Amino acid sequence: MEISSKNLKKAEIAIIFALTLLVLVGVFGIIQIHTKPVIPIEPYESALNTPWKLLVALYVFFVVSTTGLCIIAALGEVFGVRDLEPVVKDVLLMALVTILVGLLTIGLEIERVERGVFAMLGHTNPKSIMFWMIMFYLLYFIFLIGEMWFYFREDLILQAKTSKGIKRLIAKIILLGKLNGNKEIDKEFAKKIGFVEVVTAVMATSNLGALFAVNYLPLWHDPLTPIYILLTGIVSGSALAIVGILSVGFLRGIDEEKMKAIQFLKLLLVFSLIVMIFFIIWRFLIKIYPTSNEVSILSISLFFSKFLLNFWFFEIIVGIIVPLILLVLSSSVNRIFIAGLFVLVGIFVSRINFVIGGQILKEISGGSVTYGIHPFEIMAASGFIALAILLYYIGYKLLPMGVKHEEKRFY
Amino acid sequence: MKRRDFIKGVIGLIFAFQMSKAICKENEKKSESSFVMVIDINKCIGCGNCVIACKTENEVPLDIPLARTWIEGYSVEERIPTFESKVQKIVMNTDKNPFLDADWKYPKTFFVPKLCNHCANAPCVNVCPVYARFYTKEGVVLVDKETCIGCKYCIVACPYGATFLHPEQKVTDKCTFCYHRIKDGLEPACVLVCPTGARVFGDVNDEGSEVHKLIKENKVTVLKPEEGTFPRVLYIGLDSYIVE
Repeated sequence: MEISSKNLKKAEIAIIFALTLLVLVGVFGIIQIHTKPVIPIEPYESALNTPWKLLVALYVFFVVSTTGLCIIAALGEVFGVRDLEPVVKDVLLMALVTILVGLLTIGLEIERVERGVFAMLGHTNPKSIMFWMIMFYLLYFIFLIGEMWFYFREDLILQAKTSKGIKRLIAKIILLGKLNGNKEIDKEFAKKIGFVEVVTAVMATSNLGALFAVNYLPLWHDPLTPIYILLTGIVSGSALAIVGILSVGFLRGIDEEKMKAIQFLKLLLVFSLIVMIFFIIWRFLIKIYPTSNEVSILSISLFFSKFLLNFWFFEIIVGIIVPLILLVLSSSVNRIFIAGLFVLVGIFVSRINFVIGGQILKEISGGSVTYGIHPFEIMAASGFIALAILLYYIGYKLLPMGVKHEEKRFY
Repeated sequence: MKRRDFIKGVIGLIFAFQMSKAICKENEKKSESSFVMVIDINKCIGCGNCVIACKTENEVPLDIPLARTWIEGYSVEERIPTFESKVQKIVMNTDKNPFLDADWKYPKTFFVPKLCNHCANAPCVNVCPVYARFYTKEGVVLVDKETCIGCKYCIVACPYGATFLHPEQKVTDKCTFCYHRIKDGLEPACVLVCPTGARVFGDVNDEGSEVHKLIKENKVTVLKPEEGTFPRVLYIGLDSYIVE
């Protein structure tokens, strides 16, 4: 399913233009959020409103996805799953983009982020789970860059020697001017860093789950929350990998090796979706079991009232059931792609349900917590999503993503 | 001296030093003040003076619906006191008295002033990633506004809804028991202006203080004891089956 080169160029320009426009809309949204208080906190009890809103949900979506992507990359690179090897580069690039945009999202959501740098240097609270989460994600980010550097070095040297213009310059900058290296040592280093990185990513994401779980809010307060978040990370990571790889594949064609990887990712997605169903069922059944307390039952009632559409339609039907049917009944590439997209929509809505829904259940003195997503937040969120796609596109253009093994004669 | 004796001596010295330090600390702790606020629900008339005084004293804009202390008005249909009693609740603005409203129909009515509970085991202190929340030696929980990064985790973690994001300073804000006043021996602004003496503030360790007397002579309760936060705001006459 390849498109002619002329049409491809036109389509690319149109997509870049649209994405850039969306990024600008996002910039406008972020400026508005911080200059005008769009978080109407009323009445006196501030926490009757949800302090964490759409951007926090988006942050959770990005950073949890990056963990899933990191696990997939590690399966192919560190743990020797051969089927996944051809897509390790794509998945690593996606992991980099998602962690970058994720950190940017939370950085711009926090009111005084500029203080974070100085605070982190000396004024930290080791009792705070948020502190550990930030530390582990930063470490993960550093390890990811290290792993990518070693993993891409061989191809970057090739790019620096054969390409022209900006691609050559970029390759030289990334290589820090060194155009020689040892392939075996690089591979070994990438493997070792990859192993440490996947451990860090899992620790960071389980910390993210614990960050919610330690609060005495019925939807969050559950020892299984960190594990659940981790599992959804594998779901969103494999869905994102499928969508990312196939999007490029639709435009530039996809080889057989990558198709094998897609089939493996499909299996992984089906398996993790099925485990997720059990997770959801048991989390909820235990809460509504006759011996459960009133507060636990409350967390279920939310999904039959305010979050009826969000939960049942988007999270369950669009996010789990339809993709499962599509994936199980057919192996067609188009259907796998659509299933991946559906899972991503479902997971994104489930992040909103989890983050905002959890806070809505914070009943204070019988008051009802209000919630609502402001248009500026939607603008900012669209900007971040567009930025992620744009960065993936730029990364694909500038990095040696398509270098085949037989072409590496200069190394 | 043999090497073994020398090591024994050094270990003994370190142990003795640590013990003496711990004993000194214990004595220090015993002699420290421990501030609490006692609120008598029976005396509160819901005038809202405390809210205005607090906002004026602590630079919280008057025109926004945010405050470090607020008053909740309750109206309860109470035939048999149960958890299922019908309750009407309003968070009061100073210009609005629900008791003049025709919809405010139930016979039992009362006010509950609320503020930061200065918990001894404060969730906001535990969760803050940058130590912007801390305890003073008197047990008051304060916000370091120069360090706060505005992540809002404390707002999520506080079970009492007593923390908010200051719209101008862009950092979190809450009651400090007017720490700048109490360290000079003055009373918090809300206590000072309360016309009925519903709010009483003082050192619970001082046997001559009014709070010590009130706690000794009355049955006091705290909000949400099940959270295990050990609040320093104590209530007299609180119907805990209604007010959470």
